[in-house]
Amino acid sequence: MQLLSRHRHVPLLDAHKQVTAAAAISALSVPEVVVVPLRQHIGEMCDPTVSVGDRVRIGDVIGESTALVTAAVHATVSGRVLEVAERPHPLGGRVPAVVIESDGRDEWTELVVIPDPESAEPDELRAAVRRAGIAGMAGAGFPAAVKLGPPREADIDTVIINAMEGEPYLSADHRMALEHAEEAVDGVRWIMRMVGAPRAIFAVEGDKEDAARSLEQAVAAAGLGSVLDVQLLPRDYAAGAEKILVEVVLGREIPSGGFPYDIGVVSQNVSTTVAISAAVRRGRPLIERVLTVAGEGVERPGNYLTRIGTTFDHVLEQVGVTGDIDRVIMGGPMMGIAQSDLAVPVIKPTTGILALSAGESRQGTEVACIHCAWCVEVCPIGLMPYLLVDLIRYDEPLQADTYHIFDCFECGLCDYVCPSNIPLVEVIRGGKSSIREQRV
Amino acid sequence: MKVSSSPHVRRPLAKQRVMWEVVAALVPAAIFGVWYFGPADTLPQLAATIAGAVGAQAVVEGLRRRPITVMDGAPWVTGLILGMSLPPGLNVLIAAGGGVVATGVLKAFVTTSTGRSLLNPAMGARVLIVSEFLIPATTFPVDGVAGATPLASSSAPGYLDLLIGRRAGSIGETAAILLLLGAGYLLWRGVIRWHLPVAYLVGVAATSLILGRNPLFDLLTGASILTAFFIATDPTTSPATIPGRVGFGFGTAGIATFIRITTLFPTGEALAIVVGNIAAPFVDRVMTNRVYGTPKWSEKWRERLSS
Repeated sequence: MQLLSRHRHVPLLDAHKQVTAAAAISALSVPEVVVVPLRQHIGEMCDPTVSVGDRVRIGDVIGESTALVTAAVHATVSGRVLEVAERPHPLGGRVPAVVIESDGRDEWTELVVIPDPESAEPDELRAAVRRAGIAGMAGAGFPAAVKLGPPREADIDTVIINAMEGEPYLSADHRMALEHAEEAVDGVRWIMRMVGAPRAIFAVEGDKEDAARSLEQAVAAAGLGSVLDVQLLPRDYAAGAEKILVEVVLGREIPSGGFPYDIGVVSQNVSTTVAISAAVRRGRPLIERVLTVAGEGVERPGNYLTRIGTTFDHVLEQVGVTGDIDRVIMGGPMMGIAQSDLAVPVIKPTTGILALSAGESRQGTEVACIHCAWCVEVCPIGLMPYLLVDLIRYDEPLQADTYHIFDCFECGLCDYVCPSNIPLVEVIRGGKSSIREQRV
Repeated sequence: MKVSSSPHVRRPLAKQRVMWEVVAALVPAAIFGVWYFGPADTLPQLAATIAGAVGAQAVVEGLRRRPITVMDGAPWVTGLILGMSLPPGLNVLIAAGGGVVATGVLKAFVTTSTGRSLLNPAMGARVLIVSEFLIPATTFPVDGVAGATPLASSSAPGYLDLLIGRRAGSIGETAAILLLLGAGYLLWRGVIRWHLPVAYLVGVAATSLILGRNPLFDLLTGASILTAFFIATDPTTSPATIPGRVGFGFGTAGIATFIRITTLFPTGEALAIVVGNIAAPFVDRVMTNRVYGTPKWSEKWRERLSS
C-alpha cells in the first residue's frame, strides 16, 4: 500500500548562492606558511616523512601510511619544513601537522606520470589516485582510491558523480562543474574503468542548469553520450547525500549499515572527479582545492583556488572581513563545523569557509517540543528525530538504537525546521557517542 | 566567535501563523452556525469557550512564570473548536468552564512523561462537559425546538441540507461544505497532511457499512468532517508518522462511529479522540515509518509468510 511506503517532505533551503554561484574561480594568494595536517581524511593518520629543516618542493610526499584506508599528504608550497607538531585542526582537537615556510618560488617536484593511461590496468590507475592522496572533497574526506577499489564480488553497474551541492552558500562544486567540465568528464572515464561500470550519471541539482549544460557539452565533445548521462534533478538538499542520491537517481537504497557497492553503485563528488583526472593524466597530487568563502561577514565572497594548509586566518584576511562575525564555519551551514580558532588550515574536504553574522545564523533558545512532527516529515531516511531526542534525554539512550539512530547522517533538516529551536542534531550526535561508550 | 553544533541556520519561523490559519479555516463554518442557529444561542457560547481557553492559559502561564504564548493562536483554536462542538443554547457558564478546563487544566497539566499535552484540550473538555452535564450538552435545538441530532431522530434531512448544514447538531459541525473548504485551505497551506483525515473518513464509512448503515449519511452527520480535518489532526496529540496517523485516524473513526450509532451518546467523536490521544504516544513507537535501507513492508511480510 502506498501509504506505507517511504514518504518525505522536501523543504527548500534558502540557498544564499546569488553571489558565489556567479563568481568565477580565482586563485587565492599563496601564504608564507602552510600547515598541512597529517590527517585530512577518514582513516589512518599519516606518519611524517620529512623532518624540521628539510627542503621540500610542491608535490613532495610529506606524510604517508601503509594502512589501507588512508591518503598521503603532500607539500603544497616549495620551501623549508619549519616544524612537525600538533596544530589545531578544523575537525576539532589538535592533529600533527607539517608546517612549511614557502620560499615563494612554487617549484614542483618530479611527478610520476602513467605513460599511457588509456592502456593502463585499473590497479595502475588506482595507484595513481592513491599516490595523489585524493580524499573525498565534498566534506567527508573518504580516501578515493579505497572507494574506487570495491570488493571483487561487487558488480558495479553505475557510477554517480555528485554535483548536487545542496548546502546553502556553497558554490565550489557548481563552479568546478561549470568551468572544468572536460576534466570532470575525463575523470569519470577513469573512474568507470577502475570500478568496471558500463555507465555513469552526473547528478546536478536543479538550480545549476548552467553547470549541467556545460557537462552535457563536455560529454558530447568527448563522444560519450551513450554511456554518460547528465541529470538535472529537482532541488533537494538531502539528495546531495550519497544515500539519498542513489535513491533519487536509481530508486535503490543502500542497506542499513552497508555500502553503495552493495547495490552496484560507486559515487564520487565532482571536484574529486576533476582531481582524479589530474592524478591519472598528469600524476598531479591534491595540493589545492576550490572552496567557497561567503557569509555576510565576508567582503569579497567567491570561489577561491586555495592551497591545502592555508590557514583560515589567511583566507579571511585575503577576502576581507566586515562587521560582527557570529561564527566561522568550515563547510556549509547545515553540516559544517563551527571553528574556535582561525589558525586551523584548509584541508582536502574543506568545501567552504563561512563567516556568518548573527542575523543570518541560528539564534535563540530552546522551548518545549510541541510534537508538530515536522522533524519526522522532513527526515530523508524516515527517522523520528523528536523521539530519538526524548529517548536520549529522558529515557534510555540505548533504546534509540532500536529506532535506527545510527542510520542518521546528521543532515540537519530536522533541526532546521524545528519551530521549538531544539538542537536535535547535537542531542542525537551526543546520543550516538554515549551509546558507543556504553557498548564498549 | 560562537562555537555551536550544526546546523547553523534555521528555517524562518512560520509557526506563529499556523494556528491562526486554522482559526481562519474554521470561521466560515462557525459563522454559518451562528446564522443558522441564531446569534443568541451561539455567539455567547463561542465567546465563552474562547475567552475561557485564552484567559485560563494566560493565567496559568503567568502563575507558572512562563512566557505568555496565547497570541500564537493555539488557545484560540482550542476555544473555537470546543465552542463549535457544543450544542446551541448551552449554558454559557458551562461553556466558559469548558474553555478554562481545556487549557488551564488539560493542556497545562495532563501531560506525557516528556511534558507534552496528552489529550486534545478541546475534546478532553468536551468529554467532561458531556459527562457532567449530559442532558444540556447533548440536546440539540432546531429552530428553538429541542430535539436530538439527526442520528438520534427518525426524520432525516436530505443530502443537500446535510451538505449545507441545515440540520440539528453542534454549533460548528453541520456546515459540511464550508468545513471541507476550510480543510482544503489547510491542506493547500501544508498546515495539515491528508493521510490522517482520509483514514478517519474511511474509518467512518467502514464502520457505518459494517453496522449496516448508509456511510454517506454518517460521513455528513455528527462531527465527522470537523473531527477528521480539524480535531484529530492536532499534531501534539496525534501520532507523528504516516502509518501511525493512518492507524490513529482509522481507529478513532471506528470508535467514534460505533459509539455514535450504538449508544445514546451522540458525541462519540470527543470520547474516541481522547482514547486515541492516550494511545498516540504508543502508536508513535510501534507504527514507525520504514527507515531507509531497511526491508520494505512487503518484503517483511513475504519473509514472514514464507517462513
